[in-house]
Parts: sequence; C-alpha cells; structure tokens
Amino acid sequence: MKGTHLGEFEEIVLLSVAILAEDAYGNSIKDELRKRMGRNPSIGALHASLQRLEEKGYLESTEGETTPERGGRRKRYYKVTKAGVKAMQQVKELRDSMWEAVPNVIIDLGKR
Amino acid sequence: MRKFVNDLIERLTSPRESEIIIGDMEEEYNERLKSGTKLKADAAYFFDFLSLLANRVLRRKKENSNSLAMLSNYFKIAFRQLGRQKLHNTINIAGLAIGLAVSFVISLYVVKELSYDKFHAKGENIYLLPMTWKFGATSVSVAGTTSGAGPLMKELFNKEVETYTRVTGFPMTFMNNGQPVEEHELMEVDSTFLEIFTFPLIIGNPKEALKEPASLVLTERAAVRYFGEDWKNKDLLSQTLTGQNGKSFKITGVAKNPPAETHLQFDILVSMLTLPKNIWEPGWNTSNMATYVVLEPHASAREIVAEIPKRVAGKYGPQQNEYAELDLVPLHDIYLHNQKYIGFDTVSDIRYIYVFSGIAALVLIIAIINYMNLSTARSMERAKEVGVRKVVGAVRFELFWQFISESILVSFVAIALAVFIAYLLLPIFNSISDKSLTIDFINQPQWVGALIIVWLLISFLGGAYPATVLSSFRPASVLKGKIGNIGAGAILRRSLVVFQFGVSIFLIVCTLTIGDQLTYMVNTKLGIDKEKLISIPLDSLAKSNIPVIQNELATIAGIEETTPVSSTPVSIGGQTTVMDGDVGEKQVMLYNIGVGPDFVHTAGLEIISGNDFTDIVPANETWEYLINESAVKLLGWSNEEAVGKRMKMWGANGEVKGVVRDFHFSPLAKPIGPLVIHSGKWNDGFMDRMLVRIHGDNIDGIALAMEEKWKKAVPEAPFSFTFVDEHYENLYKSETRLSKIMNVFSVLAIFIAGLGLFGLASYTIMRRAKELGIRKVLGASLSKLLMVVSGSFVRPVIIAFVIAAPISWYVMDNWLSNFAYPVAFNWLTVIGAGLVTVIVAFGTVLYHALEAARVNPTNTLRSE
Repeated sequence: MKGTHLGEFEEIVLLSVAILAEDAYGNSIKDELRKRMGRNPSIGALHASLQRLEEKGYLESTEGETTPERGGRRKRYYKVTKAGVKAMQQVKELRDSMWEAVPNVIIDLGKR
Repeated sequence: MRKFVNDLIERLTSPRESEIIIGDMEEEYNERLKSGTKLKADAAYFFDFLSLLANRVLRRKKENSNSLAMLSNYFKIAFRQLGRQKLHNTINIAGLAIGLAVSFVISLYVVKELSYDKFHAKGENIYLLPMTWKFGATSVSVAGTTSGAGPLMKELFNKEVETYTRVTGFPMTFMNNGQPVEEHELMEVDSTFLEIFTFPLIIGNPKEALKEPASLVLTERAAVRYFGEDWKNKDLLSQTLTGQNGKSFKITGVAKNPPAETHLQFDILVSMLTLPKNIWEPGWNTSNMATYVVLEPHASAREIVAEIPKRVAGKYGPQQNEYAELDLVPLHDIYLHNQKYIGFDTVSDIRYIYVFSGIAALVLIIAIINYMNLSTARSMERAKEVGVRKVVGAVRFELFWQFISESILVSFVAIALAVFIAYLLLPIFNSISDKSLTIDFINQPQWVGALIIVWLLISFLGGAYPATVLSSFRPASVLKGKIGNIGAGAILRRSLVVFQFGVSIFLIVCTLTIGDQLTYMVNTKLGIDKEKLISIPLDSLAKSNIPVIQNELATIAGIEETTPVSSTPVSIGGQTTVMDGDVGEKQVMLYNIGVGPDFVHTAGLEIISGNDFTDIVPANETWEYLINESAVKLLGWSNEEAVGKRMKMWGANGEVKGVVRDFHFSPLAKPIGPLVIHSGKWNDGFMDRMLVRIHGDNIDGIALAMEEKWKKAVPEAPFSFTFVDEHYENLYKSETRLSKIMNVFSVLAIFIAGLGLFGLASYTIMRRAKELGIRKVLGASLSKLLMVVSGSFVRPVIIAFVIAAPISWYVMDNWLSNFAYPVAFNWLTVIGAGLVTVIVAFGTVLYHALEAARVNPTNTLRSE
C-alpha cells in the first residue's frame, strides 16, 4: 500500500486544504493548522507534505496571483482531488468502524 | 541575509517550487515584522530555511542510498575502531580533551576581559580625560584630573563635547541598624553620570536622581544590605540613610548592580554636591577626579587632543601648557589598553591576555599534535583495511573522507569530554584569577557555535594528515605486507615530539622564573619593617579624633607605638611638586607621605643624616621634612648638605630635618623614587590610616583589645585592620596570579606531552618487537635493550632542550627587564626543566621498554 497510505500530518494537511476550499495556499494552510490544531509546522515540513500529497494524487494545484508582500511571487493554490476525498473518507470510515468496536466501558473511562 | 537565503533556496529547489516557497516565507516574514522586531523576524526566517533544508536532505537521502550506506559504514568502522584500541583511544581523546578544556576556559576568560565597558549605549563616544603633570624633566601621568578639567573641556570645545561627568571616591560612613559602616565602594558623581553611563535604575529618575546635595542612589546589593531582601516593598524613595553626625541622605534611586565587566564598580552613588565646595568647584589644585567626556558623534578625539594646547594657550596664555597636558582615552580602552595613566585599581593589562591566549594556543597545539601523531602511527595497522577497500573500488577521495569522519567522531567525544573537564576546571580557575566565569550555553549560544567550529577544525587539522597518508597506500604492496613510506612519517612524528617537549620545557622555565621573581619581591628586605605592623583605616570621624584613639591604643600591653599616616608606607603613590628653597628656584616632583611624629620608629626606618621629627608639631607654620636618599640625589645635594635646607610644599615653608635610607615604598617593579615625609598639618583629615607597631605573639588578644579601645574612643566609626605585610603581598596580585596559572599550564602541558609519548612508545615498541626478540636471542642484556629502546625517545627530548633553552632564556630575560629589581636569570631553571622532561620521557617509555624486553623472544619471533 506504500504510496497511498495517509500519514497523520498528511491527513490534517489534507483536511485543512478541504476546509479552506478555494483559498488553500501555503500560509493559509499554516494558519488553519495553527488555529484549529494549535500546531505550528515549519514551512519546510508543510511544503514537503503538500508535495507528497500532490505526488500521491490527493491534491492538485494551480498558480494564483502575486501580492507585494510576497515580493511579487506567485501563490500556489491547492485543491483536494477526487482521490483525495476518497482517501479522507476511507480514513474516516476506518476510524468510525474502529470507534464502534471500542466497548462502552472504555469510552466511559475517558468521561470520568 | 534574506537575499542570501533566497538564493540558496533557488539553488536547492526547482524554479517552480522556489517561487512558491520563497513567496510563502516572504509573506510570513512581513507578517512577523508587523508583530515583532526585525531581529526576531530574521531569525524566524532563517529557522524556516533550516527546516526546509532538513526536510530536503531527509528526502534526498532515500534517493541516494548508496553513498549513505557508505557513510554509515564509515561511522560503524569508526565506532568499532574506538572500541578496539582502548588504550590508544583513551590517550588520544584524553590528551585532546584536556587541551581543549584548557583553551576553552582561557577563551571564556579572554572574551570576558575583552567585553569590559562595552555595555554602555554611548560607549563609542565616551572618553576618559586624564592628564600629565610636567615639572621640568619630571612628569607624572594620572587617570584623575583636577575638578576644573571637565568644565574647561566643555567650555573650550562647546561644539564637540556634548557633556562630561566627574567621578571621585571619598569613602563615607552610614549607619546600618545602629552600626557604622564605612562604604568604600562609593562614588561621588556629577548629576550627568547616569545619563552618560548605562547603569539602569530600577526605581528613580536618572535625570534628576543626583542633582541635589545629600542625595544618593543605591545599587540592589546595597539596598539589600540596608533594607533587607524585601526592600522593594519599602518605598525607598521616601527613605533616608543616616550618615555621621546625624546627617541624613535622601535616597533618589536604586540601580541594577553594575555588571562585573566594568572598571567603574560601585555600591552607592552620591551626588557630587554633597562634598565640600572646594572639592567640586572647578579648580586646578589636586587631580583626584576621573573625568569622562561624551563627544558628539562627528567629533574626532585625535583632533581635539591636538587642538587642546592651542585653545588653552588662546585662553590662558602659552605658559599654561608647560604645566599640564590633557588627553583623551576611549572608554573601551581603559580596562586593557591604558598603561600610561595610573590611578585605577580595577583595570587589567592587554599583555596578560596575550600571554594567556598564547599559552592556551600552545597547549592546544600540543594536544592536536598528539592526536595527529598517534593517528598516523596507528595508520599502518589500518593499511590492510585500506588495501581491501581500494581493491573493492574505493577511490582515494572516499578513503580520505572515511578517515576524516573517524576524526570527526573522535574529536566529538573529545569536545564533549572537554566541556565536562572545563566545568570541573572553572571553579579552580575562578579562584586563581579572581573572576566569576560561567559556562552558559543557553544564554550565550555563540559558544556552542564556537565549539562546533573548533570541533570541525580539529577534525580536519588532526585528521587530514593521517587521512592523506592512509589513503595513499598502494593496495598491491600493502596487501603483500609491505608498507611504503614509514620513514617520512617517522621524521615528522619525531619533530612533532621535539616541538611538544620544547614547549613543555619553555613553559616550565617560565613558571620557575616567574616564581623566582615573585619570591624575591615578596621576601626582599624593604628597608621598612613590615612584619607585625598593623594598619587601621580611618574614616572621617576617626580622622578628627586621632589623638584620642592614639591615647586609648597606647594603653594596650602589646602595642609599642602608633602613628597616623596618609598612606600605607609600602604603597605610596601620590606625587606632588616641591620647591627648593623659600622662593622656589627649582621645582621637582616628589612622592609624599604625611605622618605623625613617631613614624620613623613605628615603621622601622633608618635615619642616615640629621634628626627625626621634633616630638611636638610646632605651632608656627614651619613644616618639617625627612627626605630619602633618592630625593637628595634628585635635588643635587649630599646627605649632609640636605639637613637644614629649606623646602616649600603646598604653599607651606619648611625645613629638611634629616635624610632616611632609601626604602621600597612601591612594588619592586618600580625603582625607588624620591620621597618626602612630612609631619605638617596632620590633624585636618589628611591622614587615612593608623599604623600600629605590635610585639609579642598574642595577635588575637591585641586585635580584640584594639577593637574594645576603639569602640571606647570613637564608637560611631567602623573598625577594621590589615597587616602591612599582607597588604604588601597583595600588591603582587597579578604576578601571583600569573605564577599560579603558569604552574597549572606547565603541568598540563608536560602531562599531555607525556601522554602522547606514552602512546607513541607503546606503538613503536610493538612494531619493534621482532627486532628486540632477535637482539635478545643474540644475547643482549636487559639494560642494553632498555638503552636501545629508550634512546630513540630521549633523543628528541634532548633536541627539544637545545632549541627551547635559548628561547626561554630570551623571553624570560625580556620579562624580567620589566622590573626595576629583577632576579638574575637562573640557568639552573633551564637545566631543571630539561631534567624534568627527560625524566618524564624516560619514565613513560620505560614502562613499555621493560615489557618489551622481558617478553620471551619465542613469542615475538614465532609467527611471520
């Protein structure tokens, strides 16, 4: 299955891209991760992850506009592909099915 | 820096990628600029880049797995090598680690010393204003200036001089919980002081704090002393300190403790206006104020100094320049580069920095040489490995890197060990050097950087030569059992041993000579009896009660005599002008000390012509003088002629009563200067100390009795005392320090050199096992074998001796010439140093030699 497996960090990056819909580029993804997850990934890690996801076919990208803050450099917008959505669903289904298998006694443990 | 980083990213990534990544980073950068400082944003930018790099490299590794596998193989072999040759590697690493630790500690010291007075915001523009007094042929250069010099500079150079501040240090006594405490770390300063120097206030307004008379600024540590740890809760700005006679001082601020790295050390600052008017009013009588001027950024100190005489002449007439000369010394130079202007106790000398750095470098070089030597010597054992690797297809370049990577590993272990040793060494060094150095990698990350650089440097320096030699082996001959160029390596190794032992001999000679000179200075007869002589500092209250104190002390059984003096007679520094005759035909500069009438007896001086002071100070204005032989010579009299001559000093006329034999009243680095001892005006607060001559051995009892009598005479004045001989030894603090540090260094140097020789000997003798076996079979005796083996090691030591002896003589002779009273260079020290090194060399070799000589030859000769 190597090549299609979704790592934990990849998963949340993929989710962030999905949440941001039309506005997902490097820094907005980073902000999203910071806001929602309290994480502060380095630019290097994020770009590596984005690139990997693109290679796996879960993301596709288009070049966007330039802004003065970027020193006139283009943004790259990311969009989740069909395969990406499927992969996300797969992960969710896998989690859900596993959650259902957890006995209630264990879940109660966490409530105490 | 951003540009550079961006360039790097562009190189590392495809253009398509780099545009996006750099764009993202730039955007973040601009965001961060809005919320924080530029420095933080720059740092974050750089860390972004590092993370990018890390991710790139990690990713790339997967693609290029072959060379990665080789790299991991190199390290695996290196680890195995470390484990296999335990003795060899222990010696190698220990030697290197000790050398590194020593130079690390010294670097800490040097960096600390170089950082003095660098924390002031206006530091670049602050200058000390020292002066040189000129009297005919004699002159004296002092750091202190007259009270008028600062105001004059401001007046003459209105455009160039922004402001000035004057600093003086008359001790004051304050009551602390009912007990009088004399504050010595106290400075009276002009109100501009806190604006010029960066000593931040925790509470109080730096612009206003020192404007009013009787206002003072405490440091934190003084605040704790007077008000306890919780002084912050006590609203000190509404509090006062009580001085003597109930005078109250208003606290106008609390400053942070001054950092250790400043020549301006203080506990308390008092406003200048607190002092009597005649002290701070612009005048030209005595130079007892350090004056600092702040120049406008555009002004050039050199041009101003050149301009001073012209402007002074323009204002006061040209003859003024014949008496005094003003100068400017940059603030940053005061601590290390100011040997000319005397007066600061808190300064050091750049020469010590040179000496210490030099020694640290030598020790480090010895250690690195060890490392090179041992690795090269061992290289033959690796010859087969090299041969096999080459046959399998390794090229020379790869082998070179293999051995460098081993070197990187070994030096890493050595560095780690060195840091550990440095931690252990630091307290010892601190106590010797009287510093408080710390190793703080968190707040001073630059040291981590420095260690990494040194680590890589040593890896290459120590590893490059062995790596070159090893990688040059020809596989065919090596695998057949022949090794090519041992000869060349052996010569290099020998010369390195020569160098190591040469340095050791040099350091030993230096240590012994410095020790000699120190012992000579401390023990030499001064011409003054400094044993059993006690000196008690007097504060202003005690000064006005000198006869009362003397009367009380006279009742104690063990006390022979007492006399007030204006300075301790073993360190008289003040010079003054004295005119010859009533009208003053001739002016000379004399050292001077003011004393009570019993001084000559109390101090144990010898009068060689004329008489002692008359017992009672005469009521009329005629002063009485005793002068020393040097002063007689300077004035061009004979000892007999001198008696009865008239002299004029500080405006008072007087008569020379007698001549005392020359005695050392300053450290032996200086020749005995001309001195005048006078008994005039000794009741107006001029006397700083009381000299007490005691007899018998009950020193503790006498001290207790003195304190008791003192409390009776002047209960409000603080009591403390020192022994004059201890005070005298203290004058040689820096020499003592040098001597102790040299001791440590020379022991370490010879230890490291011995360690290296030990390793080298073990190796060489192993290589010669067969030869020794054959010799033994042919009938060589044990002693003969020992001769053969150790001879080859003692020879380089002897060569080292021949080279090092004249060099150390030259250097030490030079050093000794700094002293007015040097010991003669003792050639026995050189011979001693030579013997010590030969013994160490012989001893280290002997162990291996004995082992080799005793082994049964059949064991060594059996296999081929």
